[in-house]
Amino acid sequence: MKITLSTSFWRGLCAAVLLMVPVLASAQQKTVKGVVSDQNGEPVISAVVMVEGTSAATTTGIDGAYSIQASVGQTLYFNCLGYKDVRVVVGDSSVINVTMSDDSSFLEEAVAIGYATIKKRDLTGSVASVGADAITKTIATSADQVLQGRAAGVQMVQNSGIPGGGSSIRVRGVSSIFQSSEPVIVIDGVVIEASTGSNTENALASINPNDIETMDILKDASATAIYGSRGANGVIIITTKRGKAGKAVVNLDAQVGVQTMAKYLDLMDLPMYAEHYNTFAELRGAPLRDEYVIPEALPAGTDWQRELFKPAAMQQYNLTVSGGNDSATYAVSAGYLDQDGIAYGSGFDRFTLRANTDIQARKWLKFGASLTASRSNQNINALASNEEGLIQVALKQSPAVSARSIDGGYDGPDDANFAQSNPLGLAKLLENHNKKAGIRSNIYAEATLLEGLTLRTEYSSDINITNDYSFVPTYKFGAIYNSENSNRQSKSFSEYWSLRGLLSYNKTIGDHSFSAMLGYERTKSQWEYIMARRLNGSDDMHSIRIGDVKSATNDGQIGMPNTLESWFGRVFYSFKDRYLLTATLRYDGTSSLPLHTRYDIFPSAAFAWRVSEEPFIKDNFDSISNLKLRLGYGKVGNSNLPAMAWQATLVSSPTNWGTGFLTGRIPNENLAWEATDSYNVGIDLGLWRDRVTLVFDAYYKYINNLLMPSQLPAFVGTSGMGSAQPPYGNIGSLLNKGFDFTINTVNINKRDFSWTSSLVFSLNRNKVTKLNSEIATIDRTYQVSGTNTVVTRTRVGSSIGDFYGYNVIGRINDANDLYDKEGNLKVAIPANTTVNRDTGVWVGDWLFEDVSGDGVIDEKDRINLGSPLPLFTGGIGNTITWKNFDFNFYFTYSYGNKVMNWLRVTMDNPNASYNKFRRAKDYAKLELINPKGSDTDIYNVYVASAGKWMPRMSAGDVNDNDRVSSLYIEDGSYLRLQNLSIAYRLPYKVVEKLNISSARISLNIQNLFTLTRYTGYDPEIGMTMEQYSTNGQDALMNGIDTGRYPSPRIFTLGLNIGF
Amino acid sequence: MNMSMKKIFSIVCLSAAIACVSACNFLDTSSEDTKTLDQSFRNAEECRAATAPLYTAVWFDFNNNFSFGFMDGRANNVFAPWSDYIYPYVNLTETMSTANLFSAWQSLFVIVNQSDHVLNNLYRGIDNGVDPDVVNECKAECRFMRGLAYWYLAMSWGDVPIIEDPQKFITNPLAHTNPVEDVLAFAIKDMEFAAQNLPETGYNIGRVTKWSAQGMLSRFYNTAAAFVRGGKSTTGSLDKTADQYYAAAKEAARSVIEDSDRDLLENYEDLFKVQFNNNKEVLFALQWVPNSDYGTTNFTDSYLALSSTVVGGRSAWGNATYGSGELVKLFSDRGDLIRLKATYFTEGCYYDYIRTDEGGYLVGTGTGSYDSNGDFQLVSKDEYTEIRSWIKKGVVGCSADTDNLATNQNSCFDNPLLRLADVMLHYCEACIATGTSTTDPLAITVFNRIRARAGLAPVTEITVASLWDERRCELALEGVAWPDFVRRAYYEEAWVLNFMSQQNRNAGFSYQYPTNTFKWDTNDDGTISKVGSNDEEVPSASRLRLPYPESELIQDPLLREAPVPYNFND
Repeated sequence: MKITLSTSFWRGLCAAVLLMVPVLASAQQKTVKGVVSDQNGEPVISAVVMVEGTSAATTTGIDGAYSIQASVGQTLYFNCLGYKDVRVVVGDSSVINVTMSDDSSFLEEAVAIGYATIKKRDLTGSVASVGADAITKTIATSADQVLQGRAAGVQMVQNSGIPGGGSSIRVRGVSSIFQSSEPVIVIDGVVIEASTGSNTENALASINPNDIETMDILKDASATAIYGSRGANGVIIITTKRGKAGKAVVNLDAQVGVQTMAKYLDLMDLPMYAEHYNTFAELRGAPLRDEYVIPEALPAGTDWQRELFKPAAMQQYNLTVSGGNDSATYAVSAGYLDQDGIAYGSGFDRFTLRANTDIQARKWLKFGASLTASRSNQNINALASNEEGLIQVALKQSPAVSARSIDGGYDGPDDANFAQSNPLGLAKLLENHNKKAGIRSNIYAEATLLEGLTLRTEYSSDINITNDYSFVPTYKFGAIYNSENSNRQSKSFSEYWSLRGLLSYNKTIGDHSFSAMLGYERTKSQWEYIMARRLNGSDDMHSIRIGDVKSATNDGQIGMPNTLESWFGRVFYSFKDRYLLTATLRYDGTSSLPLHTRYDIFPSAAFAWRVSEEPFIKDNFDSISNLKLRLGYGKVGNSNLPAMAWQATLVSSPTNWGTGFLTGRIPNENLAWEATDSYNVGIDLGLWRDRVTLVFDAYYKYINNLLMPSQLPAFVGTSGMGSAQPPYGNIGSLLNKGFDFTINTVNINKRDFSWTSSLVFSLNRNKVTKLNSEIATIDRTYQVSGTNTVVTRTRVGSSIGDFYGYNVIGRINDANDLYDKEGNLKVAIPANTTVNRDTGVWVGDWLFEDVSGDGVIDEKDRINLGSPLPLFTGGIGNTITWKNFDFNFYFTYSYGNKVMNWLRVTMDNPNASYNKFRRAKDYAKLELINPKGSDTDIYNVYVASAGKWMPRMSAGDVNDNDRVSSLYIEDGSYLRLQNLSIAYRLPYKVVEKLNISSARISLNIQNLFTLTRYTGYDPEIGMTMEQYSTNGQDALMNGIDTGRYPSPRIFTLGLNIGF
Repeated sequence: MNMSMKKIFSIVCLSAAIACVSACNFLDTSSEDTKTLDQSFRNAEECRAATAPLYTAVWFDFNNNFSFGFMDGRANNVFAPWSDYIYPYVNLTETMSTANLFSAWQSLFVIVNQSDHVLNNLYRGIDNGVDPDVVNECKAECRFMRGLAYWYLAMSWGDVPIIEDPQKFITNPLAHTNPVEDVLAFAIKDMEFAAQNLPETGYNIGRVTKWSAQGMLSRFYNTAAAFVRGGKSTTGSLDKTADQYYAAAKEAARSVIEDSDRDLLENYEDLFKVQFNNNKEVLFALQWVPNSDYGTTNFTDSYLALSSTVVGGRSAWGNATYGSGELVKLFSDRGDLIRLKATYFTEGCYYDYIRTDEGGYLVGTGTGSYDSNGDFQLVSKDEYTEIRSWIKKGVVGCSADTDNLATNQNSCFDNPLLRLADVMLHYCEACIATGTSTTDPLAITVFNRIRARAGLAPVTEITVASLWDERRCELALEGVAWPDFVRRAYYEEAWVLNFMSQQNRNAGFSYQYPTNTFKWDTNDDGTISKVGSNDEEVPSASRLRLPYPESELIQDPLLREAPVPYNFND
C-alpha cells in the first residue's frame, strides 16, 4: 500500500514537471478535409474541428469546409453550439464529411416543477433555474448566496454578514406583512420550513452547496399551485446530485481562503475626540479632563474597528463519490466548512454527510433514498452579547479607552455612566453560540404498473436539534463590571414528516402527448424547547449545574403540531409540440384554521405556444431558434398562522399562587385561507441557434384576505405587557407587480476562446391596498435613549415598511433664515420652544418642514421618507474561457432602495459623548458678526464653518436635531463585483499522467468592490433585527442599518480533482 | 410472477393510502401549553387561576415608570431633567407622543380588558358547577381591578372610553370617550360590587379582600364628592351630593379602620422592605413574582436606583432621577425626618438595612458602617458626579437585603397601591368634607397615629392644609400624589394651579440629612437656579389632564370628539 502511494506520488511529481514540457505527437500525419453540414444540408459555419488528445484544431469556413492534420486512428472531434458533438475516427480516407444534428439540449434540460420534472421546452409556467455551475463559481457557504442576482424575479438580501447568518429571499416581492415572506424550500422532496429569515439562523446553512445539482425557483402561481398552500411565497426546489451508472467518479474539492473587511468607517482619533470633548464640556460648563488639555499632543488612541475586526481564515473541503450500474446508482459526499468571522466573537463550522441512492430492483420497481446528516456550530457573540451588538459598541467607544489593560486583561472607561463597554472583551469573554444537528431523509418506492402508469410512495422527514448557549462571566473593564455570572442554555427539537402517494400516467398518441398526476399528501410538523438558566456559577465551568440553584429558572414549550392534508392533480397536454397546456388543482386542509374553513381549493392553468415550431416561423425566420409565449393564472393559499390563531385561548402567566392564565388571544372563528391570485405572461426567445436567449415574464400578484393580526387601538387591550393578542383576520391586501428577465448570450465561441454573458433583471412594485380600516397604520419603533421612536409606518396606498419621520429642509445659518424683514418668525420651530441660545432654537439648528402648515413642528409634520424596497435588482455575469483558463466575473446590483443609516443618529451628533464619525468635527460652528457684540443676540450670530450637513453643538438640543429625519435616509443603490474567479484546468495529457480524470485550480474573490453612495459599511442591509433581539425578521424593519455585520471580502484558492 | 408482485405492491400501497385517508381527524391537533376556553373555568382553582395574573403582568407597564414618572412627577415629588420619560410630566410639556404616555394608557386598558375577559367568561364556572360564591369572589376581583384602572384613567386622562365588552370594539374599533363623571361612576359601581362580594380574608395572602374594596371606595367616594362639589357633574351619573359622598367615604374608611384586621405597621421604613411584603397595613399590593421573566417583575428600582452600588450591581438607571426641593424642604421644615429617610436618599442618610453585605450604605459616600467610635468605615466608595437627593422608596438594595429575593431588574417588592394609612387619611378628608377642619375623634386618633409613627407631635385639629401636607409626606412616591391634586382641582382649580406654579420645579438645592439643613441653589442674582435646561409650562387647567396618545388618535379619531355619556345598563 505504502509503495503504491509513493509510486503515485512520484508519478504525480513527474507529471507536474512534465506540465511545462510540450507534448509532441509523433505518429504519421496526413491532411484530412471535409465539409460539415446540418440535417438540411446547409453548411455549418465556425464549427470547431479538433484532433482529440492533441492541440491541433481548426474551424470550418463559410462553406462549412475544413482541413486538418491527423493520423489514422486518431479521433476528430466536431463541436458547434446548437449542434450535437460528433466524433469520427480517422480511417484511410482523407475526406470526412460530417452531418451535425440539432442539439436542443438547452430545451431538453429537465426542470423540477414539483413532484415531477419536465423538459424545459414543455414548461408553461415561470421557473428560474440555477445550476451547479453557478454554485461552483460562487464560493458560497450556503445555498441562498448563489441565488443573489442569478435568478430573475428572486431578490436575495443577506441580513447579516456573520458566518452562517441568515438572508431574506423574496420571490416577486414581499407577500406578507406580519408572517414570513420566505419561499418554501423543497430539498429532494423534503419541505424545509421557511426560516431563513433571522439574522443568525439560516435553514439553508445546513446544506452543503456543493451537493446541489440544481435549484429551480417556481415563481408564478401556475407553477407553485401544485404546492397549494405551501407555495404562496414561491417555491425553491433543490435537487441534490445523484449517481449515474458507470465507473465511480470521485471528486475532491478543497478551498482555503482569507476574509477581510471590505471597508472601514472614518472615525475620530483621540486628538479629534479630545478636542470635541473639550469644546462640548466647555459649552455645558462640565469639568474638563486634565489629560485632554493639549489634544494635538495626544496619540491616535484606540482604533476600535481594528480591535474588533481582523482578517479571518476560511476553509472548505468536499469529497464526492458517485457511480453505479444498471441496477443501482449512488452518490455519497462529505463536506466540511470552517469559516472564522472577521469580527471577534463570530464564526461558523459545518459538517455534512449525504448519501443518495437509487435501486432498480425489478424492471418495474425502483427504490431510492436520500439521507443528509449535518452538524454545525455558530458563534454569534458579535451580534447577541449586547443590546446593540458589538459593532455598534466598537464604533461608539471612545478612542481614549484602551482595549487591553496593562495586566493583560481588558480595559474599559473610567466612568461607567453613559459609557460603552469593551467590545473586544465582550467578544472574547462572553459566549453566545449554537450547535445544531439535523437529519433529513427521503425514501421512495416507484412501481410501473402499466406502460406509462407509475405509482410512487414517498416518505420524507427532517429532524433538527438546536442547542443555544449563552454565558456571561464576571468581568471588569475599567469602571464597567459585571459581578454576577449568568448561564443560559436551551435545547429545541423540531420534526417534520410528510407521506405522499403519487400516481402518474404518460401517453403519446400521434401529435397528442398527455400526462397526468394524482397525489395525496399529509404532513406534520412540531417543535419543542426547554431552557435552563442559573446565575453565580463558575466563570470556568459552563455547566448549568455549577450555577447557584437558588437562582435557577427554567422554561419550556411544546409547540402545537401543525398538520396539512392535501389532494392534488396535474394534467399536461401538448399538441404537435406546439400547444401546451398545464392545469393544476390542489385541495388543501390545515390544522391551523377552524373546521368550516380549513379546506379550500386552489386551481391554476397555464398555456404555452411554441411559435417557433410553427411552419411559418421555421420556414421564414431562420434566426429564431426558439420562441414560446406563455400565459398563466393561478390561485394559491396561505395558512401561515400561529397555533390556535382562530381560537379563544388562555396563556400561562406566573403568579405567586401558582400558574395563572390570562386571556391569550381574541378568537376569530371565521378565519379562512389567505389567497393569492397571480397572473403571468412570458416569452422565451432563442436567436441564432440559441446564441442569444431571453426569458421574460411580467406578473401581477394580488394577495387577498391577507392573514394578519388586527391593528387595533390600545383601548381594546390587545397590545402591551399582559395583553391578549389581537384576533387574526383575513384583513389586508397586498399587490406585487413587475417583470423580470434573463438574457444569456454567447458572444464568442471559438475552440480556444469563448465568452458568454448573462443579464438578470428583476423589477417589483409593492403596494399595501387594504388594512382593517382606512386609517389603520402599522408602526415600527426603535429606541433612542429609552424612548420609542417611530421609524417606519405602513399605510394603505404605499409600499410596506416605508421610513417615516421629519423632513429636514435646511439649517438656520443666520437670523435671516428665521426672521423676515419685519422681524417676524418666518419658519416653523418645534412646539413649546422659543428662539434662545441655551433653552431654545438657535443658529445652527435644523429647520424641519412644516408639513401640516400649522406653524409649529410637531408629530403631525412627519412624512414618508422613502422605501427600503429597491426599484430593481439583478446581476450581470461574464464567463470567458481561453484555452484551459476560465475567467468569470459576476456583478450584482440593486437600485433605488433607501437605507436608514441609524448609526448616524448618534455618530453624527455633535452632542453625543460617544465617539463620532470624523466628519462630525465639521459641525456648525457659530461666530459673531460683530466680535464685540452679544453672543445671545441672534442677529449677531452666523454659522462660520464650511460643513453643510451637521447641526450646531448645544447643551440641551432643544430643537431635537437628532430626531428621526430625512437626514439619515440614504440611497442604498449599489453595483457590486460579487464574484471574480480565474480557474485553470490542467490539460488532459497532464491529468492522464497523474492518473486522475480532471484537475482544476481556481482563485476566487468575493465582494471585491462595491460602487455605492451609501456611507455605512455596506448598502446591503436586509431586515434589521427587532431592537434587542436577533431572532425573527420583520418586513416592516427593512433597510435600517444599526451596525449590520459587514459582509467580508473573501479570497479563496481552490483545488478540484476528479479521479 | 411479475404481475402478481405488481399486484401485491399496488395493494400494499393503496391500502396504506386508504389507511391515511381514513384517519380523518389528522387535522385536529391540540396544544400542550395553551388552554382553550373549554379547558378553563372548570373548577374553583381554574377560576382563581384566571384572576391571579390580574395582580401582576397586566400592571407591568403602568408600574414600570409611569406610576412615579407621572403620578408623582406631575405632583413634583420627583424631577429628572434628563429623562424624557419623566421631565415632560414634571414640566407640563408632555405631548401626545411623550415617552410612556402610550404604554401607560395601554397598560391601564390591558387591566380593564383582561378583567373584562375573565368577567365575561366566569359564567362558565357556574355552568361547570363551581360554587357561585367563588365565582362571585372572582368577579369581584376583576371588578376591583377594572374599577381601580378606571380611577387611574380618570385621574390621568379624564374622559376615556368605558369598555365592558371588548369583543364589540374589536369588530368595530372606534369609540367615543365617556365623560370623566361616568368613568368615576363606573369605577365606583365596580368597587361597590367588589366590596359586597369579596371575602374578609383573601383566599391567598395578597388577594384583595372586602377591606381592600372598602378602602378603595373611601378614595373613590372622596373623589366623587370633590367632583360633585366642584359642580362638574354633567351627566348625573354621580347622583349623590358631595356631603352624601363624603359620608359614604367616611363610612367606608371607618369600616376598614375599625372592623378589619388591618393595622398600621409599627415602623414606617419597614413598609418598603421586601421582607414586609403584604404586611398588616397593606390593603392592595401588586404581587410580583420572584425569579420570573420580564413582565411579572417589579422593574421600578432599576429606574430609580441612584447607582449600581446601592443595589449591589443590579441595574440602576436613576442617577439623574431626583427628589424635588419643594418636598424635601417640606419634610425638612416639618422635621419629618423618618419619612424623609424612607422616601429619599439625601446626603448623609445612613441605612443599615441597605447593602447589609457590606455593612450598610451612607448616601454621598458608599457602603460601610459606623464603628464604635462613630467613625464611618468605608467598604466600597460609590461614584457620584454630583450629590443630590435621589429616590429611595421602591429601591430595595442588594439581593442580600431582600433575603435573596431581588434579582437583576426585579426588586420583588410588592408595592402597595393602597394601605391603611391612605384610608385613614381619606377618613380625615371625609370628616373635613366641605368644611375647613375636623375634630372628629376617630380622625384625630388615626391622624395622630400616623404622625406618631413618623415621629411627629400629635394635633387636636385637622385642617385642609395639614391634611394636604400629611398626605404628601406619608404617601410620596406611592402613585397617589397627582390624584390628590386632581381631586382638589375639581373644586379648587385656581388654588391647585397656583400651588403648582410655586413648586419650584427642577430647582437645584442641597440638603444635609444629619443637620437637617436645606438650601436652594441660587444664581448670581439670588434667584433659585434650575437643573437642566428644559422649558416648563405655566400650570393651566388643560394640563390637569393628559393628551391622548398619538397612535391612539390615529387608530380612533373619535377620541378627538366630545365625550358621549355612558349607557349604564344595570
